[in-house]
Amino acid sequence: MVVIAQDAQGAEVARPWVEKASGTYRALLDQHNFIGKAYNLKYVPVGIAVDETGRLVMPVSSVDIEVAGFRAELEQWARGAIVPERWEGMEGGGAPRALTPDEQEADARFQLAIALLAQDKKPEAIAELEQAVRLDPQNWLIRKQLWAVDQPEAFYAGEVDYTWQEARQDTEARELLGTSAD
Amino acid sequence: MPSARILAASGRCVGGDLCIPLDGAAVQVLDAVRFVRLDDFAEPLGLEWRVADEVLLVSRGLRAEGGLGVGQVPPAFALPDLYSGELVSSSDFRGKKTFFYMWASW
Repeated sequence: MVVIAQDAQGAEVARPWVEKASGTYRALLDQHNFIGKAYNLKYVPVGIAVDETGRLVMPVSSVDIEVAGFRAELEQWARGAIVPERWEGMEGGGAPRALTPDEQEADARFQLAIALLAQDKKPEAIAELEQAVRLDPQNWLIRKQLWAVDQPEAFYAGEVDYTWQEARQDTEARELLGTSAD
Repeated sequence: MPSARILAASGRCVGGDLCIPLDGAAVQVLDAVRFVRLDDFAEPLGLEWRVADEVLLVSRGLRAEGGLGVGQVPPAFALPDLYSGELVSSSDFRGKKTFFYMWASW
Protein backbone atom coordinates (compact mmCIF):
# COMPACT_ATOMS: atom_id res chain seq x y z
CA MET A 1 0.00 0.00 0.00
CA VAL A 2 1.40 3.34 -1.08
CA VAL A 3 -0.61 6.54 -0.71
CA ILE A 4 0.10 9.52 -2.95
CA ALA A 5 -1.04 12.99 -1.89
CA GLN A 6 -2.08 15.26 -4.78
CA ASP A 7 -1.44 18.41 -2.80
CA ALA A 8 0.00 21.50 -4.46
CA GLN A 9 0.40 23.09 -1.03
CA GLY A 10 2.98 20.47 -0.14
CA ALA A 11 3.66 17.94 2.59
CA GLU A 12 2.55 20.16 5.46
CA VAL A 13 -1.14 19.99 4.55
CA ALA A 14 -1.07 16.26 3.70
CA ARG A 15 0.83 14.85 6.69
CA PRO A 16 -1.87 15.44 9.33
CA TRP A 17 -4.30 13.26 7.38
CA VAL A 18 -1.84 10.37 7.16
CA GLU A 19 -1.14 10.73 10.86
CA LYS A 20 -4.85 10.88 11.70
CA ALA A 21 -5.30 7.59 9.84
CA SER A 22 -2.35 6.09 11.79
CA GLY A 23 -1.09 4.88 8.42
CA THR A 24 1.77 2.40 8.41
CA TYR A 25 2.01 2.53 4.62
CA ARG A 26 4.48 4.43 2.48
CA ALA A 27 3.25 7.96 1.80
CA LEU A 28 4.42 9.96 -1.21
CA LEU A 29 3.74 13.51 -2.41
CA ASP A 30 2.74 14.43 -5.96
CA GLN A 31 2.81 18.19 -5.48
CA HIS A 32 3.21 18.96 -9.19
CA ASN A 33 0.46 16.65 -10.46
CA PHE A 34 2.89 14.36 -12.27
CA ILE A 35 0.58 11.33 -12.17
CA GLY A 36 -2.49 13.33 -13.17
CA LYS A 37 -0.72 14.39 -16.35
CA ALA A 38 1.01 11.08 -17.10
CA TYR A 39 -2.19 9.06 -16.61
CA ASN A 40 -4.65 11.65 -17.92
CA LEU A 41 -6.51 11.73 -14.61
CA LYS A 42 -8.35 14.76 -13.32
CA TYR A 43 -9.75 13.65 -9.98
CA VAL A 44 -9.11 11.68 -6.82
CA PRO A 45 -9.39 9.17 -5.27
CA VAL A 46 -7.91 6.79 -7.80
CA GLY A 47 -6.39 3.34 -7.36
CA ILE A 48 -3.49 1.83 -9.30
CA ALA A 49 -3.17 -1.88 -8.48
CA VAL A 50 -0.23 -3.76 -10.00
CA ASP A 51 1.00 -7.32 -9.62
CA GLU A 52 4.56 -8.45 -8.90
CA THR A 53 5.58 -7.74 -12.51
CA GLY A 54 4.18 -4.21 -12.46
CA ARG A 55 1.13 -4.99 -14.61
CA LEU A 56 -2.29 -3.66 -13.76
CA VAL A 57 -4.73 -6.12 -12.19
CA MET A 58 -7.50 -3.51 -12.18
CA PRO A 59 -8.14 -0.70 -14.67
CA VAL A 60 -6.78 2.59 -13.31
CA SER A 61 -10.05 3.85 -11.92
CA SER A 62 -11.95 5.78 -9.34
CA VAL A 63 -12.03 3.75 -6.13
CA ASP A 64 -12.70 4.72 -2.54
CA ILE A 65 -10.75 3.06 0.24
CA GLU A 66 -13.48 4.19 2.64
CA VAL A 67 -15.87 1.68 1.05
CA ALA A 68 -15.76 -1.53 3.08
CA GLY A 69 -16.51 -3.76 0.08
CA PHE A 70 -13.52 -2.42 -1.83
CA ARG A 71 -11.25 -2.76 1.19
CA ALA A 72 -12.30 -6.41 1.49
CA GLU A 73 -11.47 -7.02 -2.17
CA LEU A 74 -8.10 -5.37 -1.70
CA GLU A 75 -7.29 -7.59 1.27
CA GLN A 76 -8.41 -10.67 -0.67
CA TRP A 77 -6.05 -9.78 -3.50
CA ALA A 78 -3.16 -8.87 -1.21
CA ARG A 79 -3.38 -12.12 0.75
CA GLY A 80 -4.05 -14.57 -2.06
CA ALA A 81 -3.46 -15.09 -5.74
CA ILE A 82 -7.01 -14.31 -6.78
CA VAL A 83 -7.85 -11.02 -8.43
CA PRO A 84 -11.44 -10.10 -7.52
CA GLU A 85 -13.68 -10.81 -10.53
CA ARG A 86 -15.33 -7.40 -10.36
CA TRP A 87 -12.04 -5.60 -11.00
CA GLU A 88 -11.64 -6.80 -14.56
CA GLY A 89 -14.89 -5.14 -15.64
CA MET A 90 -14.37 -1.87 -13.81
CA GLU A 91 -14.49 1.27 -15.87
CA GLY A 92 -11.07 2.81 -16.45
CA GLY A 93 -10.11 6.45 -16.27
CA GLY A 94 -8.56 8.40 -19.10
CA ALA A 95 -5.98 6.72 -21.30
CA PRO A 96 -2.59 8.49 -21.36
CA ARG A 97 -2.38 11.12 -24.10
CA ALA A 98 -0.63 14.38 -24.86
CA LEU A 99 -2.10 17.43 -23.15
CA THR A 100 -4.12 19.81 -25.30
CA PRO A 101 -2.79 23.40 -25.61
CA ASP A 102 -5.37 24.58 -23.05
CA GLU A 103 -4.41 21.78 -20.66
CA GLN A 104 -0.73 22.66 -21.10
CA GLU A 105 -1.38 26.29 -20.22
CA ALA A 106 -3.56 25.26 -17.29
CA ASP A 107 -0.71 23.07 -16.04
CA ALA A 108 1.84 25.87 -16.50
CA ARG A 109 -0.35 28.21 -14.44
CA PHE A 110 -0.87 25.47 -11.82
CA GLN A 111 2.93 25.05 -11.50
CA LEU A 112 3.36 28.84 -11.31
CA ALA A 113 0.77 28.93 -8.52
CA ILE A 114 2.83 26.39 -6.55
CA ALA A 115 5.90 28.62 -6.87
CA LEU A 116 3.87 31.68 -5.82
CA LEU A 117 2.46 29.85 -2.79
CA ALA A 118 6.01 28.96 -1.76
CA GLN A 119 6.74 32.72 -1.79
CA ASP A 120 3.63 33.49 0.30
CA LYS A 121 1.99 35.23 -2.67
CA LYS A 122 -1.45 33.77 -2.13
CA PRO A 123 -3.58 36.31 -4.09
CA GLU A 124 -1.27 35.92 -7.11
CA ALA A 125 -1.40 32.12 -6.77
CA ILE A 126 -5.21 32.19 -6.64
CA ALA A 127 -5.31 34.36 -9.78
CA GLU A 128 -3.18 31.78 -11.63
CA LEU A 129 -5.31 28.88 -10.36
CA GLU A 130 -8.46 30.67 -11.51
CA GLN A 131 -6.97 31.06 -14.97
CA ALA A 132 -6.05 27.36 -14.92
CA VAL A 133 -9.62 26.44 -13.99
CA ARG A 134 -10.99 28.53 -16.86
CA LEU A 135 -8.71 26.63 -19.26
CA ASP A 136 -9.39 23.15 -17.84
CA PRO A 137 -12.65 23.37 -15.86
CA GLN A 138 -13.17 19.62 -15.56
CA ASN A 139 -9.77 19.12 -13.96
CA TRP A 140 -10.78 18.67 -10.34
CA LEU A 141 -7.14 18.26 -9.28
CA ILE A 142 -6.74 21.94 -10.14
CA ARG A 143 -10.22 23.16 -9.32
CA LYS A 144 -10.49 21.78 -5.81
CA GLN A 145 -6.92 22.81 -5.14
CA LEU A 146 -8.01 26.37 -5.90
CA TRP A 147 -10.87 26.00 -3.44
CA ALA A 148 -8.56 24.70 -0.70
CA VAL A 149 -6.07 27.54 -1.18
CA ASP A 150 -8.80 30.16 -1.34
CA GLN A 151 -10.96 28.88 1.52
CA PRO A 152 -8.79 26.66 3.76
CA GLU A 153 -11.34 26.79 6.58
CA ALA A 154 -13.75 24.73 4.44
CA PHE A 155 -11.17 21.92 4.27
CA TYR A 156 -8.80 22.05 7.20
CA ALA A 157 -10.98 23.05 10.17
CA GLY A 158 -12.55 19.79 11.27
CA GLU A 159 -14.74 17.95 8.77
CA VAL A 160 -14.58 18.83 5.06
CA ASP A 161 -17.58 21.05 4.28
CA TYR A 162 -19.31 19.50 1.26
CA THR A 163 -22.27 21.88 1.44
CA TRP A 164 -19.84 24.73 0.97
CA GLN A 165 -18.28 22.90 -1.99
CA GLU A 166 -21.64 22.58 -3.76
CA ALA A 167 -22.32 26.29 -3.27
CA ARG A 168 -18.81 27.14 -4.48
CA GLN A 169 -19.29 25.03 -7.60
CA ASP A 170 -22.50 26.92 -8.43
CA THR A 171 -20.89 30.31 -7.85
CA GLU A 172 -17.82 29.38 -9.85
CA ALA A 173 -19.88 28.10 -12.76
CA ARG A 174 -21.64 31.46 -12.99
CA GLU A 175 -18.87 33.89 -12.17
CA LEU A 176 -15.65 32.22 -13.28
CA LEU A 177 -16.74 29.94 -16.10
CA GLY A 178 -19.86 31.71 -17.31
CA THR A 179 -21.82 28.48 -17.41
CA SER A 180 -24.46 26.84 -15.28
CA ALA A 181 -23.37 24.20 -12.77
CA ASP A 182 -23.17 20.56 -13.85
CA MET B 1 -7.19 -3.83 -29.30
CA PRO B 2 -4.34 -1.43 -28.53
CA SER B 3 -4.70 1.92 -30.20
CA ALA B 4 -2.99 2.84 -33.46
CA ARG B 5 -1.19 5.58 -31.56
CA ILE B 6 0.95 2.97 -29.82
CA LEU B 7 1.74 1.17 -33.06
CA ALA B 8 2.83 4.31 -34.86
CA ALA B 9 5.51 5.23 -32.34
CA SER B 10 8.49 4.21 -34.44
CA GLY B 11 8.81 7.27 -36.65
CA ARG B 12 10.13 5.09 -39.43
CA CYS B 13 6.71 4.21 -40.77
CA VAL B 14 5.55 5.62 -44.07
CA GLY B 15 2.14 5.92 -45.62
CA GLY B 16 -0.38 3.62 -44.09
CA ASP B 17 2.15 1.15 -42.68
CA LEU B 18 1.27 -0.52 -39.43
CA CYS B 19 4.47 -0.15 -37.42
CA ILE B 20 5.39 -1.80 -34.15
CA PRO B 21 8.54 -0.35 -32.55
CA LEU B 22 10.90 -3.15 -31.48
CA ASP B 23 13.77 -1.14 -30.07
CA GLY B 24 16.34 -3.43 -28.52
CA ALA B 25 14.77 -6.64 -29.81
CA ALA B 26 17.17 -9.33 -31.05
CA VAL B 27 16.90 -9.87 -34.78
CA GLN B 28 18.01 -13.13 -36.38
CA VAL B 29 18.55 -13.42 -40.11
CA LEU B 30 18.00 -16.84 -41.66
CA ASP B 31 18.15 -17.22 -45.43
CA ALA B 32 17.81 -13.44 -45.79
CA VAL B 33 14.59 -13.42 -43.75
CA ARG B 34 14.61 -11.34 -40.58
CA PHE B 35 13.08 -12.98 -37.51
CA VAL B 36 12.10 -11.36 -34.23
CA ARG B 37 10.91 -13.36 -31.24
CA LEU B 38 7.14 -13.24 -30.81
CA ASP B 39 7.62 -12.21 -27.17
CA ASP B 40 9.39 -9.01 -28.28
CA PHE B 41 6.12 -7.81 -29.73
CA ALA B 42 4.43 -8.16 -26.34
CA GLU B 43 5.68 -5.04 -24.60
CA PRO B 44 4.99 -2.50 -27.40
CA LEU B 45 1.59 -4.02 -27.96
CA GLY B 46 0.84 -4.22 -24.25
CA LEU B 47 -0.07 -7.87 -24.62
CA GLU B 48 0.82 -11.19 -23.04
CA TRP B 49 0.37 -14.46 -24.86
CA ARG B 50 1.22 -18.12 -24.77
CA VAL B 51 0.99 -21.05 -27.14
CA ALA B 52 -1.15 -24.02 -26.05
CA ASP B 53 -2.10 -26.91 -28.32
CA GLU B 54 -0.91 -25.03 -31.37
CA VAL B 55 -3.20 -22.14 -30.50
CA LEU B 56 -1.93 -18.67 -29.70
CA LEU B 57 -3.75 -17.46 -26.58
CA VAL B 58 -3.73 -13.72 -25.94
CA SER B 59 -4.30 -13.72 -22.22
CA ARG B 60 -3.82 -10.19 -20.98
CA GLY B 61 -3.34 -6.60 -21.88
CA LEU B 62 -6.48 -5.71 -23.75
CA ARG B 63 -7.13 -2.07 -23.00
CA ALA B 64 -10.26 -1.37 -21.02
CA GLU B 65 -12.57 0.98 -22.83
CA GLY B 66 -11.12 4.45 -22.48
CA GLY B 67 -8.61 3.66 -19.76
CA LEU B 68 -5.46 1.98 -18.60
CA GLY B 69 -6.56 -1.63 -18.65
CA VAL B 70 -5.77 -4.89 -16.93
CA GLY B 71 -2.44 -6.39 -17.98
CA GLN B 72 -0.90 -3.12 -19.09
CA VAL B 73 2.19 -1.62 -17.51
CA PRO B 74 1.13 1.89 -16.40
CA PRO B 75 3.48 4.87 -16.80
CA ALA B 76 6.37 4.83 -14.32
CA PHE B 77 6.75 7.63 -11.80
CA ALA B 78 9.17 8.77 -9.12
CA LEU B 79 7.90 10.96 -6.29
CA PRO B 80 9.29 12.20 -2.96
CA ASP B 81 8.42 10.50 0.32
CA LEU B 82 5.93 12.66 2.24
CA TYR B 83 8.25 12.78 5.25
CA SER B 84 11.87 12.22 4.21
CA GLY B 85 11.70 13.72 0.73
CA GLU B 86 13.56 10.64 -0.53
CA LEU B 87 12.68 9.96 -4.17
CA VAL B 88 10.69 6.74 -4.47
CA SER B 89 10.11 5.08 -7.84
CA SER B 90 7.09 3.00 -8.79
CA SER B 91 9.57 0.38 -10.03
CA ASP B 92 10.98 0.06 -6.47
CA PHE B 93 7.92 -2.07 -5.70
CA ARG B 94 8.47 -4.63 -8.45
CA GLY B 95 8.29 -8.14 -7.02
CA LYS B 96 5.43 -7.19 -4.69
CA LYS B 97 1.75 -6.68 -5.28
CA THR B 98 1.31 -2.94 -4.84
CA PHE B 99 -1.71 -0.70 -4.50
CA PHE B 100 -1.04 2.98 -5.17
CA TYR B 101 -3.82 5.22 -3.88
CA MET B 102 -4.07 8.82 -5.11
CA TRP B 103 -5.79 11.09 -2.61
CA ALA B 104 -5.66 14.72 -1.50
CA SER B 105 -6.18 16.69 1.70
CA TRP B 106 -8.87 18.82 0.07
